[in-house]
Amino acid sequence: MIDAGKLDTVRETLAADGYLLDVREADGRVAVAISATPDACEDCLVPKPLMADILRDALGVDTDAIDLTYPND
Amino acid sequence: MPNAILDPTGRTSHRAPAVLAKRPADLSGAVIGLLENTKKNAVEFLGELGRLLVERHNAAGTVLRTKTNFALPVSDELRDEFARDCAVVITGVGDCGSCSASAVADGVTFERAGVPAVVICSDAFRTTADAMAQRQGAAGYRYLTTPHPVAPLAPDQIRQRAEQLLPQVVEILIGQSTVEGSA
Amino acid sequence: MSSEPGAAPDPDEAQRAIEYCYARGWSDGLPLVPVSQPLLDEFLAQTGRDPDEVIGGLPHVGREVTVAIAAINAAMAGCRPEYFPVVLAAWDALRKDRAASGGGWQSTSGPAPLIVVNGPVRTELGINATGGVFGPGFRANATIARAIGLIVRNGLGIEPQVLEQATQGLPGRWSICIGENEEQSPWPPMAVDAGLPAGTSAVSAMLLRTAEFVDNRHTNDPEQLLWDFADTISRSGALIFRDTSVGIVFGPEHAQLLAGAGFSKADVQAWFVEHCGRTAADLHRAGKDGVNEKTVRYAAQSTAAETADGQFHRILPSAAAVPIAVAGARNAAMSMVVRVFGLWSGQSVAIAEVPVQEAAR
Repeated sequence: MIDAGKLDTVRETLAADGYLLDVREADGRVAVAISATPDACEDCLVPKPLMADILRDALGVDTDAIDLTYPND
Repeated sequence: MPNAILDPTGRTSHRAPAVLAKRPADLSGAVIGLLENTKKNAVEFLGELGRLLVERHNAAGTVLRTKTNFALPVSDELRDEFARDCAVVITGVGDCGSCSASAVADGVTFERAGVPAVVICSDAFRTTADAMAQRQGAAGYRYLTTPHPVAPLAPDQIRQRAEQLLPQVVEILIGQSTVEGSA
Repeated sequence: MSSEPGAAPDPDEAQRAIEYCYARGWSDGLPLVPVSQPLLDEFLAQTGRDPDEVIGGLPHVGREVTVAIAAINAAMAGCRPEYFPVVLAAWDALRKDRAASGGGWQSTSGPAPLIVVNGPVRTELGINATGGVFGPGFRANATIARAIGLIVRNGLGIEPQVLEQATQGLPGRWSICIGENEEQSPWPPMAVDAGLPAGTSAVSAMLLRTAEFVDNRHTNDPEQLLWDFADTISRSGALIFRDTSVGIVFGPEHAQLLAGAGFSKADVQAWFVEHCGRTAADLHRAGKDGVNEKTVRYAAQSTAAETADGQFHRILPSAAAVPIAVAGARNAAMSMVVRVFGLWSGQSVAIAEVPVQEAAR
């Protein structure tokens, strides 16, 4: 269900602001953790609902099935 | 007359009204609004585009305003000010995730307020920009990209980038393209 | 258009209409029935539901399935209008399966819906519950299941190799609709297990990864028979998470043998929960001995000593993970183990009565 190409694009987009993406699938849900590198651009992460929209397209699951974690959570 | 064969595909029926503002025939005498987002080189990039529009397309001049926060949408006051004083708006530069998203949201806001707008993002944030356009009910909204990154560019490189983008900027501001909103 | 009663329709026109549907990408590969407004009206007259009622969708691709869209797809699949309430109930039953709403239709495992029909509707519509129940040969069984597939394809827009990412898919996807053989089952029907009154026409549904036969005409000992099932249920290739879910569609002979030995459905479920699983050594051999915090199995670096103690790992967490139905002919002792993709919701959907005043319109 994951579109590897789209997910790579999301990864690159995040990397441009200094963030890392970790995706784990289990039992119909997807856990997505975004973590900051030392040179991450503060305030550059988009709001979670928009990130969920982006991930929904890449992961092929509805946003309800995405558990999204940001660096400061 | 025979019956039509029915289409079995499911589509969302509720569509947002058309997104784009009506375009002027040309930019002659137009006041160009520039909304810079505090990112490094944004003022320089937008200023150069404004200068070129005045010099080559007989625009009357430019109005430069600054967003209070690059990650947040443009304020209603600033939107209304541009709508009152400017024929068209250029906004950017979206060279990070949140500022690209808010730049696209601002572009859609200006269009809905009747002001043709050009949004400039760096090409690393297409995914973010597209997602925001979709969320704004303007899937397929056209914005312009310039190669990432923009911040470290020297003044002459900025001028070069602006020169390259100018034809597309003009095309969007006076073009007849229409984007139907879709949810 | 008028045609004389009994006169054969124009085959050339029919072929053009079928090719029209292929050309638009609506087909699952087989010919479709081209649907006109009068045929759609016949389908809609079978339900009291608003044709514009939204019954599913994929918001991120701008797709919405309405009752009318479902009706067009059911008609295209070859359903008769009177099957439509069963299609709607099957769709609603599948929507109760978390896996079907959370991306299961797009999964790499390409799961197939299993649709189980209970109650008098089976005889009213000719839904096969006995010989050759997994098909083919019966219009209602074949087309109701196919209708679900076309709704997913055309209604939701999930097409193979585009949004649908099945690695290999599986034979029988969109064709598994079975009546339960209530008449020869020693146990209550599935819909009654789910809490509906006996005699209710109803649909239960879940997604499957495959169906595997157990042929045991060899023993009359219930324990031996159950052990034969346990071997198929416990095969390591099907184990992905710590827990799994496995349904059994018992042939009448196996069900009657077990019931005759005093096993209720709950007893059979409890027996499987207790006895199905693998030893640590078996799981280690297959690289599935570890279980991470998300309950996904992985190849742990266990030592031989750690796995040599014969420790047994159960794989079925509870009776709810072992749904049971009875179907097929009473002519040989064989059954089907069905590998559940997620977990059966435990809910059956009653099939709505045809609204009389609507039908007369």
